[in-house]
Amino acid sequence: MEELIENLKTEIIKALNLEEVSPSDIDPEAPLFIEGLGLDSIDALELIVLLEKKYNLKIPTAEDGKKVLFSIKTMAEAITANQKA
Amino acid sequence: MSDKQYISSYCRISKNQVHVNGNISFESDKNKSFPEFIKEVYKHLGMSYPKFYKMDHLSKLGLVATEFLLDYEKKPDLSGPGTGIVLANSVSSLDTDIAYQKTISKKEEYFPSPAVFVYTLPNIVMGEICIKHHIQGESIFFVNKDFDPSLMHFYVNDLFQRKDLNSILLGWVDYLDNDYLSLFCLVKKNPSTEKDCSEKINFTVHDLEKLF
Repeated sequence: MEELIENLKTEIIKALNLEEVSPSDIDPEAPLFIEGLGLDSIDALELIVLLEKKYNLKIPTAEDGKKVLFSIKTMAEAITANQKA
Repeated sequence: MSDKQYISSYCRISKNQVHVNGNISFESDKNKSFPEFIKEVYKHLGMSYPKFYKMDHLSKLGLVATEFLLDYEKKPDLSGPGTGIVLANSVSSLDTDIAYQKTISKKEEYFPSPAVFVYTLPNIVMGEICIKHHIQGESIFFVNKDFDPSLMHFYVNDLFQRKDLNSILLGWVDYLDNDYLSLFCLVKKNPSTEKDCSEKINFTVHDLEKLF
């Protein structure tokens, strides 16, 4: 899980062009939206595409999206659960 | 005092150089790519605007041109409906269109990027400028083969007459595959003092042609 979280941090920084952010700056339990990294709706779409493309994890509803994309930790947990299924 | 509009300041960015009112404000090695150059410009301006890094090249170019103008003007407040924005270019958002096309061109590497897709319209550069500076006045983006000073002069004058605008950000912002040119000017309505009159450029077709 730790390795997955670190990989996610690097991938998110690259996918969202977070140029001034390094992996050590990101608290995996901090909210990704509004607070924390302050991501927006376009970033959410990018993350959804990233999860589907790289981890084969599809997010079926907006409500699921809110839960999965809450933090890097929740993303990692969803990926792990999907891989076990 | 004349009732005519005037160009309060102008900024030209091309070939890794930035000129404001004819004087060089910043330059970088001509061999550097646009992404390297524009990042240096961002840091030179001392901007703290992380969204900048998410923008496409066209939007970055338009935004920094605006920042240089506003720095020169000592950061006037452009917020609200009193400021309009009239921009144009020749290649639309083609550079970003091509970048987006690359994300979906191969079936085995099909990765449509929403963050790239949102910039596949040339007027998004106006949106980025308006968001940052809370500009809420009239806006339009023309796509023309060449800069048309007569059209821009007519349209800006028409806006000043029909709409309650105090200033208009007028610009040409073109970017395609590391080849770029932006020329922005701040057109104002009515000089406020006689001193202002003598230092400003008249807003005429002839003066626009000379600048561009």
